[in-house]
Amino acid sequence: MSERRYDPTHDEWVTFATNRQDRTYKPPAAACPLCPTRPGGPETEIPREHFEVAVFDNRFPSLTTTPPEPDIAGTDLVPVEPAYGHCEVVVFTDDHDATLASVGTQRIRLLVDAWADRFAALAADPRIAYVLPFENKGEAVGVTLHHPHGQIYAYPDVPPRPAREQRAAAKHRDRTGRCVFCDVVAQETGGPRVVVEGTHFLAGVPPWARFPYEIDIWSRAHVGTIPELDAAARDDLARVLARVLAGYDAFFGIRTSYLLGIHSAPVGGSGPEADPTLGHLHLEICPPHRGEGKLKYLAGSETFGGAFLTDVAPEVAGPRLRAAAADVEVPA
Amino acid sequence: MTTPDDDPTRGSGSPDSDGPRDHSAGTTTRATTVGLVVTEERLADGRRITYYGISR
Repeated sequence: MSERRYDPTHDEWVTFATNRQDRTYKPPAAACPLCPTRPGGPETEIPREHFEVAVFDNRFPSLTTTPPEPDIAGTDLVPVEPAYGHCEVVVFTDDHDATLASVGTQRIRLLVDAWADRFAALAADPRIAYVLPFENKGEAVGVTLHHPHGQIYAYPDVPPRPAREQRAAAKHRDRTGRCVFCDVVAQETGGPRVVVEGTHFLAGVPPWARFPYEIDIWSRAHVGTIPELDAAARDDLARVLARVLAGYDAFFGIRTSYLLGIHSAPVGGSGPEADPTLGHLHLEICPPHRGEGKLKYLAGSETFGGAFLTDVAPEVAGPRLRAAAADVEVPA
Repeated sequence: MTTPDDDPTRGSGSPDSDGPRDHSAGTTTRATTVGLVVTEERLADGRRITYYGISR
């Protein structure tokens, strides 16, 4: 089964991909499907012996370009449709034991180019409305493959959270005539919540952080997507991201688990949610950690109320993370 | 309708990725002016794989 069902009570689509129940689950390192295929070793997903960054179609996709017909017929109330889209796997390194924080700034710079290239390719599909690169890292967030990797999903509509962002941006622009993210960058620059100041990007704990040590990385310029970044901006994004991630590991003293997502301008769709001029490129990084040995879970208020409760003030988290990021040695 | 999946030799077109291409043996390689090398291949089951590297 690979289909989408519309939830009329929340005005959103839910994807069912039951084939993913059979996906590879926490294999031992010797059987890692994301390692390179080495002489005498097992055949993996990646046939080369060495690589820097590899991107390929997910073997167990939630969305595909050839989805089967739905298992059930939709109704006027609950429409059902094939789950069209793209799901790609982005492997950052052939080193099974590395992390994005440890691969170094040059490799992250190459990854930025890979993100840009794949974003442009997926956005060229006229049936795609939104492209979302992301990384789920660490067992604390439910990762099933430990080899350092991220993913890119391309959806046939703008998903609920980016759509909500678009509506908020439209409301702010109607009221002020300006981009809400540009106003955030102007307000936060030089302030107590800043973690890393780049020339093209600003990293900081947002005043509304949903996770105790959330860091957002905002483009200083009103740029909608990664492909629009020039070489200097891509260099800066790599430097800022590398320092933020190394700073996390230094601060927590562990290999930090996190969810990282890249929000961009929509590339299709209709209505105000699809207005590409509202989109402002930014990354959101959400570690589940709230202290040594303590995790933040999405509980009743967050799950049923959609209302986040945060245990650490952003004005406290910001200086802590800034100090860690300033002192850490970032691999080149 | 042509989608990115329809054409295995498709170039995926970032602003700085329009260099010469090698279409031999089912492999498409794009060398770029900024040292980025993009090589597109097909896995045994037909899925696409793209390698990104820095030319040295």
